[in-house]
Amino acid sequence: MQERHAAGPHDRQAEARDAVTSLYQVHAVGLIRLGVIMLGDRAAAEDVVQEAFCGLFRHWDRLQDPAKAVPYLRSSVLNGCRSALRRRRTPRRAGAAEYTAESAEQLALLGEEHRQVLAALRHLPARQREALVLRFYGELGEPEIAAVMGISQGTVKSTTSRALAALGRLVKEAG
Amino acid sequence: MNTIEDRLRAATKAAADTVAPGSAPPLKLPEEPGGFGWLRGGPRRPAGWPGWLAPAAAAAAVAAVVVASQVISGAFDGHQQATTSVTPAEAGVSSYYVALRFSRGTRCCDTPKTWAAVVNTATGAVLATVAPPKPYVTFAGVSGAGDGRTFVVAAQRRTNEPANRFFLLRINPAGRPGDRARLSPLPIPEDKNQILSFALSPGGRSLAVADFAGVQILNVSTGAQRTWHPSLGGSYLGSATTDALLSWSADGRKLAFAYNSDSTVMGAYLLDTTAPGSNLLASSRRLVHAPKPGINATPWYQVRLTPDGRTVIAVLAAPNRRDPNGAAQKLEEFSARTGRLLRVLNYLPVHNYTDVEQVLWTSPSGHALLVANTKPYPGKRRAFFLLGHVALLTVHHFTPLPWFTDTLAAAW
Repeated sequence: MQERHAAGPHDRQAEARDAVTSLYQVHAVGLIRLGVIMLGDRAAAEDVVQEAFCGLFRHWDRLQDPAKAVPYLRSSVLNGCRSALRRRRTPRRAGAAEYTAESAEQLALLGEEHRQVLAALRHLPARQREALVLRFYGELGEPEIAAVMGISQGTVKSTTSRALAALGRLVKEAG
Repeated sequence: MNTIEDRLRAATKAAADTVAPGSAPPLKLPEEPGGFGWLRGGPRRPAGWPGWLAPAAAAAAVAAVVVASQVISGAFDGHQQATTSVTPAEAGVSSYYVALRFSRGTRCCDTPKTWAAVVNTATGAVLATVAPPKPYVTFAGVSGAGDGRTFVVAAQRRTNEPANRFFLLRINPAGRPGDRARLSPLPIPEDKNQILSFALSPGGRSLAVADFAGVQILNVSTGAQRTWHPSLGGSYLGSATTDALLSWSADGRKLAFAYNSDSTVMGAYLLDTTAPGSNLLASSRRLVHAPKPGINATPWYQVRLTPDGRTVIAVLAAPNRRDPNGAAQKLEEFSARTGRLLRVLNYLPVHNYTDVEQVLWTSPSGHALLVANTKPYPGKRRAFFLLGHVALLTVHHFTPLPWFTDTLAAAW
Protein backbone atom coordinates (compact mmCIF):
# COMPACT_ATOMS: atom_id res chain seq x y z
CA MET A 1 0.00 0.00 0.00
CA GLN A 2 1.33 3.35 -0.99
CA GLU A 3 1.89 5.89 1.71
CA ARG A 4 0.53 9.32 1.16
CA HIS A 5 2.34 12.32 2.46
CA ALA A 6 0.68 15.65 2.88
CA ALA A 7 2.56 18.18 0.78
CA GLY A 8 4.42 20.69 2.92
CA PRO A 9 4.69 24.37 2.08
CA HIS A 10 8.04 23.84 0.38
CA ASP A 11 6.63 21.01 -1.77
CA ARG A 12 3.73 23.22 -2.78
CA GLN A 13 6.07 26.05 -3.56
CA ALA A 14 8.26 23.80 -5.70
CA GLU A 15 5.19 22.46 -7.46
CA ALA A 16 3.93 25.98 -8.14
CA ARG A 17 7.33 27.10 -9.35
CA ASP A 18 7.63 24.16 -11.77
CA ALA A 19 4.11 24.61 -13.08
CA VAL A 20 4.42 28.36 -13.58
CA THR A 21 7.85 28.00 -15.17
CA SER A 22 6.51 25.38 -17.61
CA LEU A 23 3.62 27.65 -18.51
CA TYR A 24 6.05 30.49 -19.04
CA GLN A 25 8.15 28.42 -21.42
CA VAL A 26 5.13 27.62 -23.53
CA HIS A 27 3.12 30.81 -23.38
CA ALA A 28 5.50 33.69 -22.63
CA VAL A 29 6.24 34.64 -26.23
CA GLY A 30 2.56 34.54 -27.19
CA LEU A 31 1.64 36.74 -24.28
CA ILE A 32 4.50 39.16 -24.95
CA ARG A 33 3.21 39.38 -28.53
CA LEU A 34 -0.23 40.18 -27.20
CA GLY A 35 1.32 42.86 -24.98
CA VAL A 36 3.28 44.31 -27.90
CA ILE A 37 0.11 44.60 -29.98
CA MET A 38 -1.69 46.32 -27.12
CA LEU A 39 1.17 48.58 -26.04
CA GLY A 40 3.52 48.91 -29.01
CA ASP A 41 6.47 48.58 -26.67
CA ARG A 42 8.41 45.36 -26.18
CA ALA A 43 9.90 46.26 -22.79
CA ALA A 44 6.55 47.32 -21.36
CA ALA A 45 4.98 44.14 -22.73
CA GLU A 46 7.66 42.00 -21.07
CA ASP A 47 7.00 43.77 -17.77
CA VAL A 48 3.30 43.13 -17.98
CA VAL A 49 3.84 39.45 -18.77
CA GLN A 50 6.36 39.07 -15.99
CA GLU A 51 3.87 40.61 -13.60
CA ALA A 52 1.14 38.27 -14.82
CA PHE A 53 3.25 35.18 -14.14
CA CYS A 54 4.28 36.48 -10.72
CA GLY A 55 0.60 36.99 -9.99
CA LEU A 56 -0.18 33.44 -11.07
CA PHE A 57 2.61 32.14 -8.86
CA ARG A 58 1.32 34.13 -5.90
CA HIS A 59 -2.18 32.80 -6.35
CA TRP A 60 -1.28 29.27 -7.39
CA ASP A 61 -2.65 27.85 -4.16
CA ARG A 62 -6.02 29.35 -4.98
CA LEU A 63 -6.13 28.14 -8.58
CA GLN A 64 -8.50 25.20 -8.43
CA ASP A 65 -8.41 24.19 -12.08
CA PRO A 66 -4.98 24.32 -13.77
CA ALA A 67 -6.73 24.55 -17.14
CA LYS A 68 -7.80 28.04 -16.13
CA ALA A 69 -4.20 29.21 -15.81
CA VAL A 70 -3.88 30.35 -19.43
CA PRO A 71 -7.16 32.33 -19.50
CA TYR A 72 -6.07 33.83 -16.17
CA LEU A 73 -2.76 34.87 -17.72
CA ARG A 74 -4.47 36.39 -20.76
CA SER A 75 -6.82 38.37 -18.53
CA SER A 76 -3.94 39.42 -16.38
CA VAL A 77 -1.91 40.62 -19.37
CA LEU A 78 -4.87 42.58 -20.73
CA ASN A 79 -5.44 44.16 -17.33
CA GLY A 80 -1.75 45.02 -17.10
CA CYS A 81 -1.83 46.59 -20.56
CA ARG A 82 -4.89 48.60 -19.61
CA SER A 83 -3.11 49.93 -16.53
CA ALA A 84 0.03 50.72 -18.51
CA LEU A 85 -1.99 52.65 -21.09
CA ARG A 86 -3.82 54.52 -18.36
CA ARG A 87 -0.50 55.57 -16.83
CA ARG A 88 0.72 56.76 -20.21
CA ARG A 89 -2.36 58.90 -20.83
CA THR A 90 -2.04 60.90 -17.66
CA PRO A 91 0.76 63.23 -18.82
CA ARG A 92 -0.96 63.70 -22.16
CA ARG A 93 -4.02 65.09 -20.44
CA ALA A 94 -1.77 67.38 -18.47
CA GLY A 95 -0.53 68.89 -21.72
CA ALA A 96 2.71 67.00 -22.18
CA ALA A 97 3.94 66.02 -25.61
CA GLU A 98 1.79 63.58 -27.53
CA TYR A 99 2.68 60.04 -26.64
CA THR A 100 3.90 57.88 -29.50
CA ALA A 101 2.60 54.41 -28.90
CA GLU A 102 5.17 52.49 -30.90
CA SER A 103 8.71 52.38 -29.64
CA ALA A 104 11.35 53.38 -32.18
CA GLU A 105 12.29 49.73 -32.60
CA GLN A 106 8.72 48.70 -33.28
CA LEU A 107 8.26 51.54 -35.75
CA ALA A 108 11.30 50.44 -37.66
CA LEU A 109 9.95 46.91 -37.97
CA LEU A 110 6.46 47.76 -39.14
CA GLY A 111 5.34 49.02 -42.54
CA GLU A 112 3.25 52.15 -43.03
CA GLU A 113 0.05 50.20 -43.73
CA HIS A 114 0.34 48.22 -40.51
CA ARG A 115 1.32 51.25 -38.47
CA GLN A 116 -1.82 53.04 -39.60
CA VAL A 117 -4.07 50.17 -38.57
CA LEU A 118 -2.32 49.73 -35.21
CA ALA A 119 -2.50 53.45 -34.50
CA ALA A 120 -6.23 53.39 -35.18
CA LEU A 121 -6.62 50.30 -33.01
CA ARG A 122 -5.03 52.12 -30.08
CA HIS A 123 -7.51 54.96 -30.40
CA LEU A 124 -10.38 52.63 -29.64
CA PRO A 125 -11.76 52.29 -26.11
CA ALA A 126 -10.01 49.56 -24.13
CA ARG A 127 -12.83 47.05 -24.27
CA GLN A 128 -13.27 47.37 -28.03
CA ARG A 129 -9.56 47.12 -28.62
CA GLU A 130 -9.24 44.00 -26.51
CA ALA A 131 -12.19 42.32 -28.17
CA LEU A 132 -10.71 42.93 -31.63
CA VAL A 133 -7.24 41.72 -30.68
CA LEU A 134 -8.53 38.55 -29.06
CA ARG A 135 -10.81 37.88 -32.02
CA PHE A 136 -8.59 38.74 -34.98
CA TYR A 137 -5.12 38.17 -33.59
CA GLY A 138 -5.85 35.54 -30.94
CA GLU A 139 -8.44 33.84 -33.16
CA LEU A 140 -10.52 33.13 -30.05
CA GLY A 141 -14.20 32.33 -30.23
CA GLU A 142 -16.85 34.38 -28.49
CA PRO A 143 -17.09 32.09 -25.42
CA GLU A 144 -13.32 32.29 -24.86
CA ILE A 145 -13.24 36.05 -25.35
CA ALA A 146 -16.11 36.39 -22.92
CA ALA A 147 -14.21 34.33 -20.34
CA VAL A 148 -11.00 36.33 -20.74
CA MET A 149 -12.72 39.71 -20.65
CA GLY A 150 -15.23 38.78 -17.98
CA ILE A 151 -18.23 39.85 -20.06
CA SER A 152 -21.16 38.03 -21.63
CA GLN A 153 -21.04 36.51 -25.11
CA GLY A 154 -23.68 38.93 -26.26
CA THR A 155 -21.55 41.85 -25.18
CA VAL A 156 -18.56 40.35 -27.00
CA LYS A 157 -20.59 40.21 -30.18
CA SER A 158 -21.89 43.76 -29.99
CA THR A 159 -18.55 45.16 -28.84
CA THR A 160 -16.68 43.48 -31.69
CA SER A 161 -19.17 44.73 -34.23
CA ARG A 162 -18.99 48.33 -32.98
CA ALA A 163 -15.22 48.15 -32.71
CA LEU A 164 -14.80 47.01 -36.30
CA ALA A 165 -17.00 49.81 -37.55
CA ALA A 166 -15.07 52.36 -35.50
CA LEU A 167 -11.74 50.99 -36.64
CA GLY A 168 -12.82 51.19 -40.26
CA ARG A 169 -13.79 54.83 -39.79
CA LEU A 170 -10.55 55.73 -38.07
CA VAL A 171 -8.40 54.06 -40.74
CA LYS A 172 -10.36 55.79 -43.47
CA GLU A 173 -9.94 59.17 -41.78
CA ALA A 174 -6.23 58.60 -41.35
CA GLY A 175 -5.79 57.44 -44.95
CA MET B 1 -6.30 43.27 -48.74
CA ASN B 2 -9.85 44.52 -48.80
CA THR B 3 -11.64 44.22 -45.54
CA ILE B 4 -10.79 45.93 -42.30
CA GLU B 5 -10.72 42.48 -40.69
CA ASP B 6 -7.96 41.35 -43.06
CA ARG B 7 -5.98 44.50 -42.49
CA LEU B 8 -6.33 44.11 -38.76
CA ARG B 9 -5.17 40.48 -38.90
CA ALA B 10 -2.17 41.41 -41.00
CA ALA B 11 -1.19 44.38 -38.83
CA THR B 12 -1.46 42.54 -35.53
CA LYS B 13 0.45 39.58 -36.97
CA ALA B 14 3.20 41.91 -38.18
CA ALA B 15 3.43 43.51 -34.73
CA ALA B 16 3.47 40.08 -33.08
CA ASP B 17 6.19 38.85 -35.43
CA THR B 18 8.55 41.48 -34.07
CA VAL B 19 8.81 39.20 -31.02
CA ALA B 20 10.94 36.28 -32.14
CA PRO B 21 10.19 32.77 -30.89
CA GLY B 22 12.31 31.88 -27.88
CA SER B 23 13.13 35.52 -27.15
CA ALA B 24 11.25 35.80 -23.86
CA PRO B 25 13.49 36.95 -21.03
CA PRO B 26 14.02 34.55 -18.11
CA LEU B 27 11.17 34.36 -15.66
CA LYS B 28 11.94 35.83 -12.26
CA LEU B 29 9.79 34.37 -9.54
CA PRO B 30 10.00 35.24 -5.88
CA GLU B 31 12.13 32.90 -3.83
CA GLU B 32 10.09 32.46 -0.71
CA PRO B 33 8.06 29.35 0.08
CA GLY B 34 4.36 28.61 -0.35
CA GLY B 35 1.88 30.80 1.35
CA PHE B 36 4.11 33.59 0.04
CA GLY B 37 3.77 35.56 3.23
CA TRP B 38 6.63 37.81 2.29
CA LEU B 39 4.67 39.07 -0.66
CA ARG B 40 1.71 39.98 1.43
CA GLY B 41 4.19 41.46 3.80
CA GLY B 42 4.41 41.81 7.49
CA PRO B 43 2.75 44.67 9.24
CA ARG B 44 2.31 47.40 6.69
CA ARG B 45 3.42 50.87 7.49
CA PRO B 46 0.31 52.66 8.69
CA ALA B 47 -0.99 55.55 6.67
CA GLY B 48 0.51 58.78 7.85
CA TRP B 49 3.64 57.05 9.07
CA PRO B 50 5.73 59.92 10.35
CA GLY B 51 8.91 60.84 8.61
CA TRP B 52 10.89 60.58 11.81
CA LEU B 53 10.62 57.30 13.52
CA ALA B 54 12.16 55.81 16.58
CA PRO B 55 13.18 52.22 15.93
CA ALA B 56 10.24 50.42 17.43
CA ALA B 57 11.48 46.97 16.50
CA ALA B 58 15.12 47.48 17.32
CA ALA B 59 15.39 44.48 19.60
CA ALA B 60 13.99 42.09 17.02
CA ALA B 61 16.15 43.65 14.36
CA VAL B 62 19.32 43.08 16.33
CA ALA B 63 18.36 39.45 16.73
CA ALA B 64 17.97 39.24 12.97
CA VAL B 65 21.38 40.69 12.26
CA VAL B 66 23.03 38.40 14.74
CA VAL B 67 21.60 35.43 12.87
CA ALA B 68 22.85 36.93 9.62
CA SER B 69 26.36 37.16 11.01
CA GLN B 70 26.28 33.51 12.04
CA VAL B 71 25.73 32.32 8.48
CA ILE B 72 28.27 34.50 6.78
CA SER B 73 31.07 31.93 6.92
CA GLY B 74 32.17 30.95 3.45
CA ALA B 75 30.47 33.91 1.87
CA PHE B 76 33.72 35.47 0.70
CA ASP B 77 35.62 33.08 -1.48
CA GLY B 78 39.35 33.34 -1.27
CA HIS B 79 39.41 34.59 2.27
CA GLN B 80 39.58 33.01 5.65
CA GLN B 81 37.58 34.31 8.49
CA ALA B 82 39.86 36.20 10.84
CA THR B 83 40.90 34.19 13.87
CA THR B 84 41.60 37.33 15.82
CA SER B 85 38.87 39.67 14.81
CA VAL B 86 39.64 43.24 13.84
CA THR B 87 36.93 45.52 15.07
CA PRO B 88 35.51 48.14 12.71
CA ALA B 89 36.64 50.85 15.12
CA GLU B 90 40.22 49.55 15.04
CA ALA B 91 40.15 49.69 11.25
CA GLY B 92 38.86 53.27 11.34
CA VAL B 93 35.32 52.58 10.18
CA SER B 94 32.81 55.16 11.38
CA SER B 95 30.62 54.09 14.26
CA TYR B 96 27.39 54.58 12.34
CA TYR B 97 26.22 54.02 8.81
CA VAL B 98 23.04 54.61 6.87
CA ALA B 99 21.38 51.59 5.29
CA LEU B 100 18.56 51.71 2.77
CA ARG B 101 16.27 48.85 3.58
CA PHE B 102 13.13 47.94 1.75
CA SER B 103 9.83 47.83 3.49
CA ARG B 104 7.93 44.62 3.87
CA GLY B 105 5.04 45.93 1.83
CA THR B 106 7.15 45.67 -1.33
CA ARG B 107 5.55 43.49 -3.98
CA CYS B 108 7.63 41.08 -5.95
CA CYS B 109 7.34 42.85 -9.24
CA ASP B 110 8.02 46.43 -8.23
CA THR B 111 11.29 48.02 -7.51
CA PRO B 112 11.47 48.30 -3.76
CA LYS B 113 10.22 51.10 -1.58
CA THR B 114 13.01 51.78 0.82
CA TRP B 115 13.53 53.64 4.06
CA ALA B 116 16.75 54.69 5.74
CA ALA B 117 18.08 53.19 8.95
CA VAL B 118 20.92 54.64 10.99
CA VAL B 119 22.80 51.63 12.27
CA ASN B 120 25.63 51.06 14.72
CA THR B 121 28.45 49.48 12.69
CA ALA B 122 29.77 47.31 15.50
CA THR B 123 26.56 46.07 17.04
CA GLY B 124 23.96 46.34 14.29
CA ALA B 125 21.65 48.23 16.64
CA VAL B 126 19.32 50.67 14.88
CA LEU B 127 19.64 54.20 16.13
CA ALA B 128 16.92 55.81 14.03
CA THR B 129 14.84 55.21 10.97
CA VAL B 130 13.77 57.76 8.39
CA ALA B 131 11.03 57.44 5.79
CA PRO B 132 11.09 59.43 2.55
CA PRO B 133 9.21 62.71 3.06
CA LYS B 134 6.01 63.04 1.07
CA PRO B 135 5.51 63.10 -1.90
CA TYR B 136 8.56 60.88 -2.20
CA VAL B 137 8.06 57.20 -1.63
CA THR B 138 11.48 55.63 -1.78
CA PHE B 139 15.17 56.28 -1.37
CA ALA B 140 17.19 55.25 -4.40
CA GLY B 141 20.70 55.74 -3.08
CA VAL B 142 22.87 56.97 -0.24
CA SER B 143 26.36 58.38 0.07
CA GLY B 144 28.33 59.43 3.13
CA ALA B 145 30.89 62.13 3.77
CA GLY B 146 32.97 59.65 5.76
CA ASP B 147 32.54 61.43 9.08
CA GLY B 148 29.79 59.10 10.26
CA ARG B 149 27.44 62.05 10.63
CA THR B 150 26.72 63.51 7.20
CA PHE B 151 24.95 61.67 4.40
CA VAL B 152 23.00 62.44 1.24
CA VAL B 153 20.07 60.33 0.13
CA ALA B 154 18.29 60.43 -3.24
CA ALA B 155 14.51 60.21 -3.03
CA GLN B 156 12.05 59.31 -5.77
CA ARG B 157 8.35 60.09 -6.12
CA ARG B 158 7.61 56.71 -7.61
CA THR B 159 9.56 53.52 -7.88
CA ASN B 160 10.95 52.99 -11.37
CA GLU B 161 11.00 56.74 -11.92
CA PRO B 162 14.35 58.19 -12.87
CA ALA B 163 13.96 61.64 -11.25
CA ASN B 164 15.75 62.05 -7.95
CA ARG B 165 15.63 64.72 -5.30
CA PHE B 166 18.59 64.93 -2.95
CA PHE B 167 18.25 65.31 0.80
CA LEU B 168 20.87 65.89 3.43
CA LEU B 169 20.66 63.39 6.28
CA ARG B 170 22.47 64.43 9.43
CA ILE B 171 22.67 62.07 12.35
CA ASN B 172 23.20 62.86 15.98
CA PRO B 173 23.75 59.68 18.01
CA ALA B 174 23.70 61.63 21.29
CA GLY B 175 20.34 63.22 20.54
CA ARG B 176 16.97 62.28 21.95
CA PRO B 177 15.34 59.26 20.34
CA GLY B 178 13.13 61.34 18.05
CA ASP B 179 15.91 63.69 17.05
CA ARG B 180 18.79 61.45 16.09
CA ALA B 181 18.38 61.82 12.34
CA ARG B 182 17.33 64.93 10.49
CA LEU B 183 16.47 65.12 6.83
CA SER B 184 16.51 68.39 4.89
CA PRO B 185 16.21 69.06 1.15
CA LEU B 186 19.31 70.24 -0.66
CA PRO B 187 19.02 73.38 -2.81
CA ILE B 188 19.47 71.26 -5.91
CA PRO B 189 16.74 70.85 -8.54
CA GLU B 190 15.35 67.39 -9.10
CA ASP B 191 17.59 65.39 -11.44
CA LYS B 192 15.33 64.18 -14.24
CA ASN B 193 17.81 61.71 -15.67
CA GLN B 194 18.50 58.19 -14.55
CA ILE B 195 21.26 58.55 -12.01
CA LEU B 196 24.08 56.05 -12.34
CA SER B 197 25.93 56.93 -9.19
CA PHE B 198 26.49 59.78 -6.77
CA ALA B 199 29.10 60.48 -4.12
CA LEU B 200 29.30 63.04 -1.36
CA SER B 201 32.75 64.55 -0.94
CA PRO B 202 34.71 64.25 2.31
CA GLY B 203 33.54 67.15 4.43
CA GLY B 204 30.19 67.07 2.68
CA ARG B 205 30.64 70.22 0.60
CA SER B 206 30.15 68.81 -2.89
CA LEU B 207 28.01 66.14 -4.42
CA ALA B 208 29.17 64.35 -7.55
CA VAL B 209 26.33 62.95 -9.63
CA ALA B 210 26.75 60.78 -12.71
CA ASP B 211 23.86 60.42 -15.09
CA PHE B 212 23.69 59.82 -18.82
CA ALA B 213 24.20 63.52 -19.49
CA GLY B 214 27.54 63.55 -17.75
CA VAL B 215 29.13 64.12 -14.38
CA GLN B 216 27.93 67.06 -12.34
CA ILE B 217 29.54 68.53 -9.28
CA LEU B 218 26.97 70.30 -7.12
CA ASN B 219 27.63 72.64 -4.27
CA VAL B 220 25.61 71.25 -1.38
CA SER B 221 25.10 74.69 0.20
CA THR B 222 24.25 76.79 -2.85
CA GLY B 223 23.19 74.27 -5.47
CA ALA B 224 25.72 75.72 -7.95
CA GLN B 225 26.65 73.11 -10.50
CA ARG B 226 29.29 72.31 -13.05
CA THR B 227 28.96 69.61 -15.67
CA TRP B 228 31.44 67.51 -17.60
CA HIS B 229 30.02 65.76 -20.65
CA PRO B 230 31.10 62.34 -21.81
CA SER B 231 32.68 62.79 -25.23
CA LEU B 232 31.47 59.41 -26.40
CA GLY B 233 27.91 59.56 -25.16
CA GLY B 234 25.87 56.54 -24.28
CA SER B 235 26.29 54.51 -21.16
CA TYR B 236 29.76 55.78 -20.48
CA LEU B 237 29.86 54.50 -16.94
CA GLY B 238 28.88 51.09 -18.18
CA SER B 239 27.30 48.43 -16.12
CA ALA B 240 25.81 50.26 -13.19
CA THR B 241 25.13 47.17 -11.16
CA THR B 242 26.97 48.77 -8.31
CA ASP B 243 26.49 52.06 -6.62
CA ALA B 244 30.01 53.23 -6.04
CA LEU B 245 31.21 54.16 -9.48
CA LEU B 246 32.40 57.52 -8.19
CA SER B 247 34.80 58.24 -5.34
CA TRP B 248 36.55 61.34 -4.04
CA SER B 249 40.09 62.10 -2.97
CA ALA B 250 40.42 63.09 0.69
CA ASP B 251 40.73 66.81 -0.17
CA GLY B 252 37.40 66.78 -2.01
CA ARG B 253 38.97 68.14 -5.21
CA LYS B 254 39.47 65.07 -7.36
CA LEU B 255 36.93 62.52 -8.42
CA ALA B 256 37.70 58.99 -9.58
CA PHE B 257 35.37 57.20 -11.92
CA ALA B 258 35.25 54.17 -14.19
CA TYR B 259 34.71 54.68 -17.91
CA ASN B 260 33.29 51.70 -19.72
CA SER B 261 31.69 53.01 -22.88
CA ASP B 262 34.40 52.40 -25.44
CA SER B 263 36.97 49.65 -25.19
CA THR B 264 39.79 51.88 -26.40
CA VAL B 265 39.41 54.26 -23.50
CA MET B 266 38.11 51.96 -20.80
CA GLY B 267 39.71 52.40 -17.44
CA ALA B 268 39.76 54.25 -14.16
CA TYR B 269 40.02 58.03 -14.46
CA LEU B 270 40.66 60.95 -12.17
CA LEU B 271 38.89 64.26 -12.78
CA ASP B 272 40.33 67.43 -11.26
CA THR B 273 37.12 69.26 -10.43
CA THR B 274 38.94 72.55 -9.90
CA ALA B 275 40.53 72.65 -13.36
CA PRO B 276 38.86 74.27 -16.41
CA GLY B 277 37.11 72.26 -19.11
CA SER B 278 33.84 70.51 -19.67
CA ASN B 279 34.82 67.39 -21.58
CA LEU B 280 34.90 64.53 -19.13
CA LEU B 281 37.69 62.51 -20.71
CA ALA B 282 39.75 65.48 -21.85
CA SER B 283 39.65 66.95 -18.36
CA SER B 284 40.59 63.68 -16.69
CA ARG B 285 43.72 61.61 -16.31
CA ARG B 286 43.57 57.87 -16.84
CA LEU B 287 44.87 56.21 -13.71
CA VAL B 288 44.58 52.61 -14.80
CA HIS B 289 44.05 51.14 -18.26
CA ALA B 290 41.65 48.26 -18.69
CA PRO B 291 43.69 45.10 -18.16
CA LYS B 292 42.91 43.87 -21.68
CA PRO B 293 42.69 46.47 -24.43
CA GLY B 294 40.41 46.27 -27.45
CA ILE B 295 37.21 44.35 -27.80
CA ASN B 296 38.09 41.97 -24.99
CA ALA B 297 38.62 44.85 -22.58
CA THR B 298 37.56 44.00 -19.08
CA PRO B 299 34.60 45.97 -17.77
CA TRP B 300 34.98 47.80 -14.51
CA TYR B 301 32.23 47.05 -12.10
CA GLN B 302 33.54 49.44 -9.55
CA VAL B 303 36.38 51.84 -8.88
CA ARG B 304 37.35 53.37 -5.58
CA LEU B 305 40.20 55.76 -5.05
CA THR B 306 41.60 55.36 -1.57
CA PRO B 307 41.35 58.62 0.38
CA ASP B 308 45.14 59.04 0.33
CA GLY B 309 44.94 59.05 -3.46
CA ARG B 310 47.66 56.43 -3.84
CA THR B 311 45.76 53.34 -4.83
CA VAL B 312 42.71 52.37 -6.81
CA ILE B 313 40.59 49.49 -5.59
CA ALA B 314 38.60 47.99 -8.43
CA VAL B 315 36.16 45.20 -9.01
CA LEU B 316 36.70 43.84 -12.51
CA ALA B 317 35.19 41.08 -14.61
CA ALA B 318 37.49 38.06 -14.91
CA PRO B 319 37.42 34.66 -16.63
CA ASN B 320 36.18 31.80 -14.52
CA ARG B 321 39.06 29.48 -13.70
CA ARG B 322 36.97 26.33 -13.67
CA ASP B 323 34.18 27.01 -16.12
CA PRO B 324 35.17 28.57 -19.47
CA ASN B 325 31.58 29.66 -20.00
CA GLY B 326 31.22 30.99 -16.48
CA ALA B 327 31.95 34.41 -15.12
CA ALA B 328 34.04 35.64 -12.24
CA GLN B 329 35.37 38.83 -10.84
CA LYS B 330 38.48 40.05 -9.16
CA LEU B 331 38.96 42.60 -6.48
CA GLU B 332 42.27 44.25 -7.32
CA GLU B 333 44.46 47.03 -6.08
CA PHE B 334 46.31 49.26 -8.54
CA SER B 335 48.83 52.03 -8.09
CA ALA B 336 47.17 55.35 -8.87
CA ARG B 337 50.55 56.76 -9.92
CA THR B 338 51.77 54.07 -12.32
CA GLY B 339 48.55 52.16 -13.05
CA ARG B 340 50.28 48.88 -12.20
CA LEU B 341 48.51 46.03 -10.49
CA LEU B 342 49.73 45.80 -6.91
CA ARG B 343 47.80 42.79 -5.68
CA VAL B 344 44.71 40.71 -6.17
CA LEU B 345 42.60 41.00 -3.07
CA ASN B 346 39.94 38.52 -4.00
CA TYR B 347 38.78 36.22 -6.80
CA LEU B 348 35.12 35.39 -6.86
CA PRO B 349 33.29 33.06 -9.25
CA VAL B 350 29.98 34.63 -10.18
CA HIS B 351 27.05 32.28 -10.19
CA ASN B 352 24.27 33.78 -12.19
CA TYR B 353 25.19 37.22 -10.87
CA THR B 354 24.51 36.10 -7.34
CA ASP B 355 27.83 37.09 -5.90
CA VAL B 356 28.72 40.44 -7.34
CA GLU B 357 31.12 42.07 -4.97
CA GLN B 358 31.04 45.67 -3.86
CA VAL B 359 33.49 47.79 -1.96
CA LEU B 360 31.52 49.99 0.40
CA TRP B 361 34.34 51.74 2.21
CA THR B 362 38.11 51.90 2.22
CA SER B 363 40.50 53.00 4.92
CA PRO B 364 42.76 55.94 3.96
CA SER B 365 45.47 53.63 2.63
CA GLY B 366 43.20 50.82 1.42
CA HIS B 367 44.61 48.45 4.02
CA ALA B 368 41.11 47.74 5.32
CA LEU B 369 38.00 47.53 3.18
CA LEU B 370 34.36 46.96 3.79
CA VAL B 371 33.19 44.54 1.12
CA ALA B 372 29.75 43.17 0.40
CA ASN B 373 28.43 40.21 -1.50
CA THR B 374 25.30 41.14 -3.36
CA LYS B 375 22.38 38.83 -3.88
CA PRO B 376 19.73 39.28 -6.56
CA TYR B 377 16.14 39.81 -5.63
CA PRO B 378 13.48 39.50 -8.32
CA GLY B 379 12.34 42.87 -9.50
CA LYS B 380 10.02 43.96 -12.24
CA ARG B 381 12.36 44.86 -15.06
CA ARG B 382 15.41 43.14 -13.72
CA ALA B 383 16.65 41.69 -10.51
CA PHE B 384 17.79 44.31 -8.06
CA PHE B 385 20.58 43.59 -5.68
CA LEU B 386 20.65 43.33 -1.95
CA LEU B 387 23.81 43.59 0.08
CA GLY B 388 23.71 40.04 1.36
CA HIS B 389 26.72 39.99 3.64
CA VAL B 390 29.22 42.63 4.62
CA ALA B 391 32.65 42.07 6.08
CA LEU B 392 35.72 43.98 7.03
CA LEU B 393 38.51 42.76 4.79
CA THR B 394 42.10 43.04 5.95
CA VAL B 395 44.87 41.18 4.09
CA HIS B 396 42.93 38.08 3.08
CA HIS B 397 41.00 37.88 6.31
CA PHE B 398 37.47 38.94 6.79
CA THR B 399 35.49 39.83 9.85
CA PRO B 400 31.73 39.70 9.28
CA LEU B 401 29.66 42.65 10.40
CA PRO B 402 26.21 42.21 11.87
CA TRP B 403 24.02 42.93 8.89
CA PHE B 404 20.42 43.28 7.79
CA THR B 405 19.96 41.14 4.72
CA ASP B 406 17.17 43.38 3.42
CA THR B 407 19.65 46.20 2.76
CA LEU B 408 19.88 47.59 -0.74
CA ALA B 409 22.58 50.17 -0.22
CA ALA B 410 24.70 51.44 2.62
CA ALA B 411 27.14 54.27 3.18
CA TRP B 412 29.59 55.27 5.87
